[in-house]
Amino acid sequence: MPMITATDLVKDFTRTRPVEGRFSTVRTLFTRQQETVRAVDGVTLSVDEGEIVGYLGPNGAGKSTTIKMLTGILVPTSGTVEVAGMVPWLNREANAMNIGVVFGQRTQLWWALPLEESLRLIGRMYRMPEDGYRKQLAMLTELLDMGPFLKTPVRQLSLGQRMRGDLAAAVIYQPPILFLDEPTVGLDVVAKERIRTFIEEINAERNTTVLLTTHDLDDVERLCRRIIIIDQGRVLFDGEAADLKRRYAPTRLVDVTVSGDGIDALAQAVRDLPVGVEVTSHDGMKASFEVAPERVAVSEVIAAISAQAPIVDISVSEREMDGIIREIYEAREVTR
Amino acid sequence: MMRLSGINPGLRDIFRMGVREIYAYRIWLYLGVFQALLQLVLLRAVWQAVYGNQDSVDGVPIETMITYLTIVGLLEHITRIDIANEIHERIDQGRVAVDMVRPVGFVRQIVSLSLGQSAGTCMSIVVVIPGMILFGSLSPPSSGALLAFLLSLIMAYVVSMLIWLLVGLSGFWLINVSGMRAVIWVVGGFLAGSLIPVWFMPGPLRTVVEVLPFQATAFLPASIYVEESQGADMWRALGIQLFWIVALWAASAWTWRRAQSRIVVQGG
Repeated sequence: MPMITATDLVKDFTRTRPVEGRFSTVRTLFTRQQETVRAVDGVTLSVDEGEIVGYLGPNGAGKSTTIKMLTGILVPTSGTVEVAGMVPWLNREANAMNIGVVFGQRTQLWWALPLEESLRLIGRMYRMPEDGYRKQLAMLTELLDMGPFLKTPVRQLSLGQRMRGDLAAAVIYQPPILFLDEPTVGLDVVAKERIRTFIEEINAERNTTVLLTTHDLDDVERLCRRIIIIDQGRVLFDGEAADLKRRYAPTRLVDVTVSGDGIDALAQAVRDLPVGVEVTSHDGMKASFEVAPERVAVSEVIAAISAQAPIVDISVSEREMDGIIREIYEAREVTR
Repeated sequence: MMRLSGINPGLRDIFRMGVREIYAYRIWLYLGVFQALLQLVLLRAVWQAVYGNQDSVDGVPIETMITYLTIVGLLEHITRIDIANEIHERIDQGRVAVDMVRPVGFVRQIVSLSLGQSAGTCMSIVVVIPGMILFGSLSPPSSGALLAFLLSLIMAYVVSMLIWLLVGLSGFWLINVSGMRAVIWVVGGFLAGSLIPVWFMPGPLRTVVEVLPFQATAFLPASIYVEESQGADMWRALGIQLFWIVALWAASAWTWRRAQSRIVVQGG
């Protein structure tokens, strides 16, 4: 059952066009020239209950604008959205009960209040019964290791602590849907890992539907089976992460190192490679190949080399998600 | 659809947060008290000079004038509402995004906070009232007028809240409202009768005053207190205040409805 659906979603922003040339500052005051910028341009997507979907795209692609429409903050220029059966911007308050939101770039906690009081305020706002609130707080305090800073005012928390507090604030009232807009931005490796584990656990335990934007592809590899890539407001790819790899990065990378007396033999082997192998680098004792598995088996390539040259080290790897996505952004076009 | 009935319990906490803010920035409270008393001393000196050795001008005795200035000063102190600035900051810093995903309306959150701040400010009347009696005069009116004044005072507060709410909401169009705030602060204060009572204003200026809501925040309640408006005049004053509450309420609701589709979140 889809929990989130968006159809032909469009958002235009208008802004006053800055005037250039002489007296431009003064002339800007009197100009009514406006220009329209289309941030989201016909996005259609659907997320099923219990899915974790990665929503990716370069800066300015329209990710955050989409999230803001799905959460009811922004009203779209055209198109429809349904979140748990409701149009978010028409039912803001009822919709708010169904969704948890984390904006990595800003906190939803109250700057002046200690973390615990911020969470208590949220508990009251979402009309949690006292015992339910206590149980959730105890559970989250343990899961996110918030014990040491529960009494600390939010303005004094480190970024990692604040982000954990923000996550707790987004899930404490047990919403069935979570929107996470860059929940790991600016965090160190350990803090990121803690947050990923937490998202995984919440999803597994409560079957929470999660839509996640991020620039960290480790988040995606770890959490999302499915990804949606957008750029310039349009969906470029929507499908399984594994599928993306299969389609855009079917090749395997093979690096070999031979012993010192195998330099000539390696050079010979490089010349005699089977069809479907491309040499990406070759320098003395070391060589790297890109193998297309549908044309030639990796094992066959290794056998062919080792038949001629004494291999001392070898590694086979897939291409990194990072590189694939970068390529897609750069190409700005992916055929479906 | 889920029914969310009753006042959201979180609003009470927001109200309390508003009260606490006032104490966290106590220095502002002290400055506000000082300013209110200083203004009273200055205005009193000016008006005593204007009266010279006359006991009464245009049928208004000097004692009434001083009581009027004191009451207006008190009203200004109580109805000082920072809601426009609060909204401005939220728009400017993009915090409005967070406020909009709460199960409580944005305007309700912000009004609750503002009410809390006012409640915090109100505590200062334990200093302000004795100070005002010392530097001015609060000679009490008849009990009927006092009752009407208290009602009028509450309506003055509501009108002031709605004016500043409307100014704040205009920020969704203007992005920066500080200039407009400053103008309304000065011009509105003057048109509210806080320096010169409306009865001393020349004809055309009086017309301007009468078609704008500012007099409902100071002049109308103060003239009830000093019993310059009595009987039918008094009821008329209360009626004007009620009219402005309804009109400004409708205007705010309309503005907010339109603002929602204009929201832009600053800073990604």
